[in-house]
Amino acid sequence: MIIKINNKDYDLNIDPNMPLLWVLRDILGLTGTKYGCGVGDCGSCMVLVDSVARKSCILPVSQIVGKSITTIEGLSSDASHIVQKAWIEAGVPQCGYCQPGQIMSAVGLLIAIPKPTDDDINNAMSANICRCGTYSRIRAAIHIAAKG
Amino acid sequence: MENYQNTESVNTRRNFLLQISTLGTGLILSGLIPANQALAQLIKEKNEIQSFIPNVWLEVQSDNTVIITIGQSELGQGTRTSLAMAVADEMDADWANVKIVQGNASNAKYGSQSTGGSSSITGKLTIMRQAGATARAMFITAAAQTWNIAESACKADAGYILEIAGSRKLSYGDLSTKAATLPVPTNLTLKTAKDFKYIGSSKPVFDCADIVMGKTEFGIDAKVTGLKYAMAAFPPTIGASVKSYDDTDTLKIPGVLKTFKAAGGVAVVADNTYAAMQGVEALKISWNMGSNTGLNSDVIYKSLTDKIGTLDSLPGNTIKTLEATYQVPFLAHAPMEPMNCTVNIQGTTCEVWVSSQDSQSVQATVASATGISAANVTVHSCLSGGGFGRRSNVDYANYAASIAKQSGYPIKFLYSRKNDIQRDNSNRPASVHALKAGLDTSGKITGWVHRGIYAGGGSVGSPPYSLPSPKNYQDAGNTTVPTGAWRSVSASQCVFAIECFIDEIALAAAKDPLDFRLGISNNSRVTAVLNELKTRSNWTNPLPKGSGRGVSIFSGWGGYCGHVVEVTVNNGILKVDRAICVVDVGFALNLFTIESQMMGGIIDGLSTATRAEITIAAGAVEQTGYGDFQWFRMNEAPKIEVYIIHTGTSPSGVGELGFPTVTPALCNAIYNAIGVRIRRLPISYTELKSTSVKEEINRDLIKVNPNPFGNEINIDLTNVEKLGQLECKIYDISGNLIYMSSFPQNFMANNYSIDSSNFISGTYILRISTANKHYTAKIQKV
Ligand code: FES
Ligand code: FES
Repeated sequence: MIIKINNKDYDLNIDPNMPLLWVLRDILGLTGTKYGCGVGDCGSCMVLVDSVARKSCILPVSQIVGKSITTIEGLSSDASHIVQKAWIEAGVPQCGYCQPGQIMSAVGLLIAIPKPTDDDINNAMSANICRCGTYSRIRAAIHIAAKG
Repeated sequence: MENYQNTESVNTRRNFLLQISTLGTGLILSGLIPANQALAQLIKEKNEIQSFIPNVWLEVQSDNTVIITIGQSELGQGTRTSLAMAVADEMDADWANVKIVQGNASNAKYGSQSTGGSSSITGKLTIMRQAGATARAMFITAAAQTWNIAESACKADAGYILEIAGSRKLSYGDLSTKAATLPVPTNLTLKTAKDFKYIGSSKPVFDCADIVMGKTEFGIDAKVTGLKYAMAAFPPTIGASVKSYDDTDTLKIPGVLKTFKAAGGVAVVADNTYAAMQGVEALKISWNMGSNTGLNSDVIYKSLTDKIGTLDSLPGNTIKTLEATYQVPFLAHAPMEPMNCTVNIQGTTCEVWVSSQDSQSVQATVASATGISAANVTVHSCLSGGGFGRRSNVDYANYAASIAKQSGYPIKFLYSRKNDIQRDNSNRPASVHALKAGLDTSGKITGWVHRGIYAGGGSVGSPPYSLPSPKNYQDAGNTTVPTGAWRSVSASQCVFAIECFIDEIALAAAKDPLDFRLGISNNSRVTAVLNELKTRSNWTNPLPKGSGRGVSIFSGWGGYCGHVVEVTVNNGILKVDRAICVVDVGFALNLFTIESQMMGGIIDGLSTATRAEITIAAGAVEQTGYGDFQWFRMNEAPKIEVYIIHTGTSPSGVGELGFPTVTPALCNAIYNAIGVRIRRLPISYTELKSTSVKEEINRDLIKVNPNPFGNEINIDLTNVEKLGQLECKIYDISGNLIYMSSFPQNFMANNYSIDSSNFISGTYILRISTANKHYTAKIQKV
């Protein structure tokens, strides 16, 4: 099975039912994508599947064959992606554990809606939990990123 | 950083300890290991870069890099960043050259590294400032000797020593070789506030860039050659144990390697986490269910209320007596990163990667589980994905170590989210609080009685008010459920009861709740926080009908914190509009992380007040994940304002301080909005009925299968009266109606389905109305 992660093809011989999350973390060593619940409740595991934010913990790897996956590691190698820069400017992270997932949701949102309203942000970002409570700063960072 | 220890000189260490102790600060001194020239040479040979190491916290390299080591764990509270600011300020370092590293577990080097109880800044600030001041003094001496001028003719500035009267300057890197030859100074002068450059400023966590790139290594991200993954089937009830088990199906799963009795249950070791998870599912375990199968939440609450007894009587001048009982549930911590630990045993040594609040306790635990001496157990204290008290308990380290030992593999042991919630071994204890107070003819409080009964350890304290001889009692009821420290410990429950009751008293005395508090404040800092809240919230400006404002204040951990919360309640649907926090932290080290902690406290306070709750049935925790142990999300998070008062005295704890007053301010706001007094958490929708004449029915009576739901909501109406025209309405969490339908006439079935494919993920309120009743349930779309 050939899958494309961050513009790189990987030929893997694995259980096609394995959720993408564990392929990323345990097989490919891409541990930026986090496990928070494994059942789609928290958004820690968010990745982009062809530009749409999806929860990788409930996404069997077989379903992404032929699609292009972007993980947090694929956004940039130097924190230069506009959303990463906005996150740094707003100083969003507390523990930081949810933040890769939050950022991937935000990237997906900004691809779909380049100038999101607060309601758009509520809709797109409510799949993600931040147990540290950084929501105000996430909202601020998304507005910063949208300004460009 | 660890190899330095081997080269330290015992003699100089003793001298240094002696010198420092003359400061009479009563600090933990074990971490102060001095500069050592032999060491400087050693580092030079290895790395081509020479290092000056005045103590265990600090290393200055010849290329000007300043490496600051922090011993406490980082859980998102910003400790590493904030303590490094203190070191950098006192040594006049250039922040751009500062690198921050986490110290491995070592009591000899760092003293206690236990990170909890908001103790990191209060406990370590002075010693970290001294560590920086030591370096500054030595650089000044080194420059003065180099230029052959008086030390008083030199000054430190942003990584340089400058000649005050001239133009000469030398960087710390230039001076590091010379500084490493000097004795450690006997007199340290710490800066005064007017000279602070970083202390009291505002800095986000230093590793923000790494975090946003996904590069930061949390414990769960540890990478070890040959690593295997382990998960466990934990006992299904509190106190159950394995009778026997059959792993035939488990071992058939590709990638599964071995199974063991471990973690009180059965552990599965596999090539990857997915195989381990499947392996656990496939185990057939026969359990001894233990003696707690009859335990449930009602039994526990009864054991608590049974212990309340008779409250003391009030003085004779009492003309009005108020009594109320408040109830607070168990809470799990549920930090985003589930409990985990990675252990690699290699002969007589062992390496551990862990997200913990107590790396030394991990070290001791792994040592005893493996039989390897603690000195040979290296614990890498990784960034923790939250802690909130849970990570002070190190059960995960014990299990990881014993599975690594039994299996012979390097092991990453992981709790599933369900394990993490159901096996939280330090839940906040449930508690009940009976309060009694009296008023005299002039509306003054005559007496105060508070009995707090906990399903575990807990205490009752007095609020920061002038109360005539308050009588506080604490006791314990059924303590079967494992309990421990949860953000702000007993204050998380007591303050809810006390501050709601104070509101009840204020209203009985026909006084404004905020002014009433000002009238009984026992402390000028309490008064200042209340006055600031009054101004910031526009307290006297009326809100529209259905909206309300509530206030609450608390003193603890050396600081003062208060909140005003604004809510709107519409048809039983609660919306939090605004939360204002005013906090007096005494001495503010890092404004940014203080604000972060206050924001987190607000989200925690609102989440636990309105929904998060651990309940017990048949001896087990009922909740299974974030779907039924729910936290606020973006769409529910209110507008937050934080105002920090800096009184310049000693620093208060911050992590706990921002939590206790959120819930009572919320509940007082609900009363202000609709006249409903909340005395039991989490707040039930049925209690929030306002104008409706229909009876509001507890949410337990309608069920949605599954919940969380996907593209279809299947409503189980078995327990719903089939009377009148049935209607279904769904609101989002902000109270907006987003779906409405009428059932077919004479609808008698027990099931009803709704297409929810165009609902976005999140929490909704489902409301079924019949002739006489409204049934309400919180439901969740994934
Ligand atoms: S880990 Fe995927 S949604 Fe929680
Ligand atoms: S920053 Fe800690 S969970 Fe979001």
